[in-house]
Amino acid sequence: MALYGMVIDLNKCNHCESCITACKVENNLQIVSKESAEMGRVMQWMRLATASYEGNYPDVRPVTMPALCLQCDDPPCTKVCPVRATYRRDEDGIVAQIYPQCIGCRYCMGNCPYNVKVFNWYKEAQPIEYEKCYNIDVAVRVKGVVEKCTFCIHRLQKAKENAAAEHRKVTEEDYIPACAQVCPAHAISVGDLDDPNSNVSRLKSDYRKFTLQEELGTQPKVFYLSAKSK
Amino acid sequence: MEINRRDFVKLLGTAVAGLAVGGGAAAIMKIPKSLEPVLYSGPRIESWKLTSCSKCPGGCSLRVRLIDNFPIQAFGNPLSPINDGGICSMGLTSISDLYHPSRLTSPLKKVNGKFISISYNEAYKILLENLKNVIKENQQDDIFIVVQTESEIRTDLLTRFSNETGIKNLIVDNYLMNSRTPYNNAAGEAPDFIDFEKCDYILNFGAQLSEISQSPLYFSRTLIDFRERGHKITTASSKLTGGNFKSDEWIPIRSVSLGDLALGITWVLLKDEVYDKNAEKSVTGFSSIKDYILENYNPDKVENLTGVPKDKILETGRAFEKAKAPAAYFDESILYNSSGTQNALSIIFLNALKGFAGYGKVKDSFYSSVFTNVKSSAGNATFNTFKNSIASKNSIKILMISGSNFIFNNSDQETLKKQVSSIPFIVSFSSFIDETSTYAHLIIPDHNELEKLDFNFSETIGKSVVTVQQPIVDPFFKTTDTGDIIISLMKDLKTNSEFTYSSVSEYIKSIAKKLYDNRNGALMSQNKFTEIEKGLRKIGWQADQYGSFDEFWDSLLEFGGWWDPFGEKDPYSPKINFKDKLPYPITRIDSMDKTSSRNKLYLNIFRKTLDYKGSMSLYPVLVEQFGHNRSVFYKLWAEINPETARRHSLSDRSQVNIKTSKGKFPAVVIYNPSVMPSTLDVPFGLGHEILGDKSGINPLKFSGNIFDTVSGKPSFTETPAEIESYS
Amino acid sequence: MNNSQILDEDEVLFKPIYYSGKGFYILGAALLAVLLFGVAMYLRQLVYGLGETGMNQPVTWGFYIISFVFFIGISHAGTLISAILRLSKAEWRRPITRMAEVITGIVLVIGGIHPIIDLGRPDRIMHIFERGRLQSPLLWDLTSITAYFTASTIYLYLPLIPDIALLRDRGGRFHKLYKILAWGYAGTEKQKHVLEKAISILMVMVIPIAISVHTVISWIFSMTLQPGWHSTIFGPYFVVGAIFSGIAALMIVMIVFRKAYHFEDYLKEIHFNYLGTLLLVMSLLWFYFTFAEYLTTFYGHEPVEMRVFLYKFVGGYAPYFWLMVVCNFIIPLIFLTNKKMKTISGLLIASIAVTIGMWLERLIVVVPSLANPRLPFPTGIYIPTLTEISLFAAAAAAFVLGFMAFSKLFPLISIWEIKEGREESVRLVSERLNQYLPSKGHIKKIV
Repeated sequence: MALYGMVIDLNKCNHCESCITACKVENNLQIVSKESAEMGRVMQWMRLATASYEGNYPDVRPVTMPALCLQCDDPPCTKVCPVRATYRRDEDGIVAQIYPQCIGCRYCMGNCPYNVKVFNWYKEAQPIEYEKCYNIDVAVRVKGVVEKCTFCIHRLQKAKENAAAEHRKVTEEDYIPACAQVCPAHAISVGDLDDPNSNVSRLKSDYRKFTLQEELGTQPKVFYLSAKSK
Repeated sequence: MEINRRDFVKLLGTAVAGLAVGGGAAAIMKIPKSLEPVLYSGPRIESWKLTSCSKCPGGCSLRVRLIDNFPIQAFGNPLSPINDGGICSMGLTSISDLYHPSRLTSPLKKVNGKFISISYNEAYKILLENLKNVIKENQQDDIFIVVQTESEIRTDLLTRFSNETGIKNLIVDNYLMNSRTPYNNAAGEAPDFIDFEKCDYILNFGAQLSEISQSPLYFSRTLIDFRERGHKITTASSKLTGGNFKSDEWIPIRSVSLGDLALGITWVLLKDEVYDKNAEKSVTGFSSIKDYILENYNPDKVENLTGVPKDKILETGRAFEKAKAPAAYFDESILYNSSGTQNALSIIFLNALKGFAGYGKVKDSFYSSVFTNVKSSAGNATFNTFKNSIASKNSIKILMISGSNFIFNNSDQETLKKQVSSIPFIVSFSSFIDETSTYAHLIIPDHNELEKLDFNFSETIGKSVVTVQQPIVDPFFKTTDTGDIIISLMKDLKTNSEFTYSSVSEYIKSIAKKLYDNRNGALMSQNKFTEIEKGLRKIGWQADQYGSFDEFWDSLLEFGGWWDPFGEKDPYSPKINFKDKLPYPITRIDSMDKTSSRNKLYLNIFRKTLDYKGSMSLYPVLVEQFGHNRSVFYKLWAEINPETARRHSLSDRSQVNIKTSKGKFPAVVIYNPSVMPSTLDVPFGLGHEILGDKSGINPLKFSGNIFDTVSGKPSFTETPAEIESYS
Repeated sequence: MNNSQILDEDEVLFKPIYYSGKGFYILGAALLAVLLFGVAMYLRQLVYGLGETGMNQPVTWGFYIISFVFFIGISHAGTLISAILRLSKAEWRRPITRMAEVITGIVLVIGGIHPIIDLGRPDRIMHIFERGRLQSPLLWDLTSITAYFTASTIYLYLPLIPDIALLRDRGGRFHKLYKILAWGYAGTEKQKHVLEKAISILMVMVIPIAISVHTVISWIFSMTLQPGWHSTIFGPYFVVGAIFSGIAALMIVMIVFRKAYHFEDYLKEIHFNYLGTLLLVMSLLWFYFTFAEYLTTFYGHEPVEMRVFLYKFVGGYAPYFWLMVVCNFIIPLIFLTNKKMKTISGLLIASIAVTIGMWLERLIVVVPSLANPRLPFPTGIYIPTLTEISLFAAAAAAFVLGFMAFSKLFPLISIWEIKEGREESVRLVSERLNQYLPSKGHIKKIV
């Protein structure tokens, strides 16, 4: 029974935004029109959020971090869904979305304290060259459903199938989400928190670890490492 | 609400829907008709191929995922020593321009203001005729070639072409050439890389190391390691951009004064007499330069010139002194102000005082062994030469453009457009009709990057690396590799051409033959070596032996590259002669306002992550992502210091009009405490008018006519601006 | 039995069913046009998607949920008032109960449809029934609204039966319909007794169901973690607000129909007086709850909560917030405490103000908490589009149209209760009074 978590080392991250592009391209996210973007309907499962600035000029540094679904172990979003379209999987700890089941009531979006859930307000015509490069492993969502980061669960499913075919367990090399794969600074690590030998378990015990809004009791599984203040 | 929005609900419910777009769409998607059946009902077989990205000089190695032989995704090659499995946003999305609907499918000729499609033979004939006519009259000085490609082989071919035909005005406007020109002018050669094994302090003058550099991904990795070992990075620039957040210290200073700061720090070293005494011999005219600096650049004076507190100058100077192998780093971004080249020379002098200890040169560089003649006879023309030439009455007869969109990348665009349209014959090799190629009379589109064969040479990591760019797909349309055109021209224009290869692929194979003969390197089949392997390799043992060249070539394509993992380095110790361009920054155009005057505002144009040519309008994902960190989409924004904003009564996220001498444009005000008090930071990259996404505004259109007098690059940081009205 | 010559003493109550003036048709046509426009906009939204609204990230709930809560809130007046008044045997309820129950019936339908309008995939509505999760507050909401709707429809129907019987006996239009609906009621003692029993059971059942409805609706908000929503006071707060807005709506309906159908004889000043007093009491109660809620927030001074608080008090939503306070508290206070101002027109003004104010209160509850997320996100901006506004107008039009349609089929004032009141009330009340008062002339002999 795995428990997949993520550790992002903010001391290594240099805000190149590759992870955000990778997530968009890997998961066939919709590119919304300019009017929709102006209304605040841009669809991003992962964004680079600037929380605040610390320090006095000229020693000002922004507190910026990649923000994505924190795959809570006690998710507020699954509690309020009326049709179980979002649920936490016990076998790997990932909070998943069932797109055909979602009725689009957006209650889960209202309850997520991190605002990571995204809704398909329209189904806009995509630029043809972008559509050509869709990833065939990921379903393209219809309008009116909620979606969010799934830790690239399609890659996990593929890895499990491959491992099963080879009669072995899934190892760390088999499964890596897109954002972790493309990071040039190797700042993002994803792995099994239950496995004491994995990278994330080791990094999780780093003294620099913090996570977002733990006081709300959501038990997020994405941890940030930062030697400076939060 | 738009009427032409199509409802894709039915089609996009299936997992394979990405490729099976509804009827008629393939006609809009740029795919050859012969490949359409596979698109609809193909077997959907996945395959992987390796190639190299050529969007920036880095030369990262990519693994491209193909479905039914259509490339759909790209990832980094984990075995590449440059990118180590990582990939940047440009690489991730650049596959889509293979299918872009605006892609040119055949050569075009302009007839009565419109482009009509012609055959390659006809196009080639027109080009040859025009060149022949001008060369016959010995008017080669009226021919200009502007090239901004990162491909060393294309640049080499164009250099040979210019040498053989006598054309002197070859402007190589790419990143590496621009970064190296100050060194080439002063020292004859430039350093190859920052030697991270020795270097223990980086004083960065305005460069965005992990965003726009010789290899952004490489620097992203190594700078982390550099800092973890306890070394410091100090950045002096006009904007603290994303890549420089990790600097230990940021010295806010306007770009035009960077040279003054360098000289101020030099003053500290000269005064304390703590510098490499070899510099006294290797720099011509050292003592007179030293006297001048000691007299004119003491910290008080420099504080008046730059606004940097003198304690900071002394502190930085002392840190530079204490470091054993510091590197005062600059790159082509220093050219984007009125005294850019001069500033670069000051920094070279500062480096010379420490013997360029932080830099290195690759010993037995493979690149040098192939292109020995390139550097010495590379065109000395600069963009400034080009502009002066078309501005004066001596008209240019032929302009050849390869990979450059200079009308978009420069200021004073109206004049440039007018002047360019008076050139009688312009040929462009661009794959798209963009702001510059729209003025062309003949366009012979180049292959897409995924259809080309090329080698990318890189020495950023301190070792020779050759990444192979191989054709992932057969060319979709009637495009032609620019290299092949140049080679044909060389053969047709000069009877005894020294260039004996008949095509680019032959030339590249000859270079690969040199690799085959080179016993030092290895294919990119391994990234990390055990100690035993290192020892064995040092004594000349090679794991990968090949029976024949063909076997080697196939393996080279399979592994995607070659490198010299145990290559050695030489120190960089050139002889420096500044000639008549002494390293004293020249009088600025607005010399009164070096420090930040409290009420004056300057437009400070900055380049965002990876987008140094402003060419990302082709990629819809990147355009959307452009301002997402500030939550501003498809619009131009201006970052401003909150105190300055309050003084001008501007609230966060309000709409304003920014007025310069060229007009006014709207922008959204964003509060950012790290912005210099007297600047308005505006990003560059939006505002294309012809190609791709047309949202936003190009701030260079409103930038004043201030240029670096040597290179002709527009100044990004010196245009006075006013906030005119609040809308 | 032909009755065109025999005029009942309460003929005026029957009149609207048989006679429609020109104004009726004009108004009906206009409202129908608005309703159809709203339906057309909804169909457009079905085709294009929820993007036609002004909702975005992070403001994911807007006009539709606001209308939902607003309309369901108004429903409270109906059944609750009529049930409570019946329970407490207040005789002045007689002309009011029918209109109150009709309000509930119509408004529950309108309000109940709104969440479906708000769904991104209304074609999957059956998922709620097939795979619903009872742990979700939306399911509790569904259950309680369904229960309330059932109960209140029955509670509307049962006291309607004697009136339908009267109509059936008069003959004329819709005779067959009335015959079916009257269920063979003939006014016999046994039937009356059964009817009274049924009504009295229902009126007790309806009260907890009604209270649960709006409590559960408020729990949709307070069960989340959002600042400004996660408050324990929401249940009672919303119930009070619902009754408040319900009484105001009831008063508007009463005043309008009184004027239009000339019910002055039945809806006397005294009725309005009492209702006005009730309105004043609810206004004070509403103010008490609001004050308690915001004082607690302000005193705790938690940063996330303060962000929402300041947004409401001095930020972007300040105009709406203060307008709401004026409409809900100040205007009722002015008009309802002052004897001179407490005229029918004064009450109309106060009721309209309260209705607007309570709609604004729903706006203030829903949008600011969503617009100020906890984590760094720019503050959301919500601008309703034509689709949302037209659907709200269509809902209001549907409400009025529903009433007008009802008034053409059934009497708006409960005729049999009026008759019963005339005959029996005085006796019943004096009997009751005798039970309270001490008996006459018992002088104990002092021995």
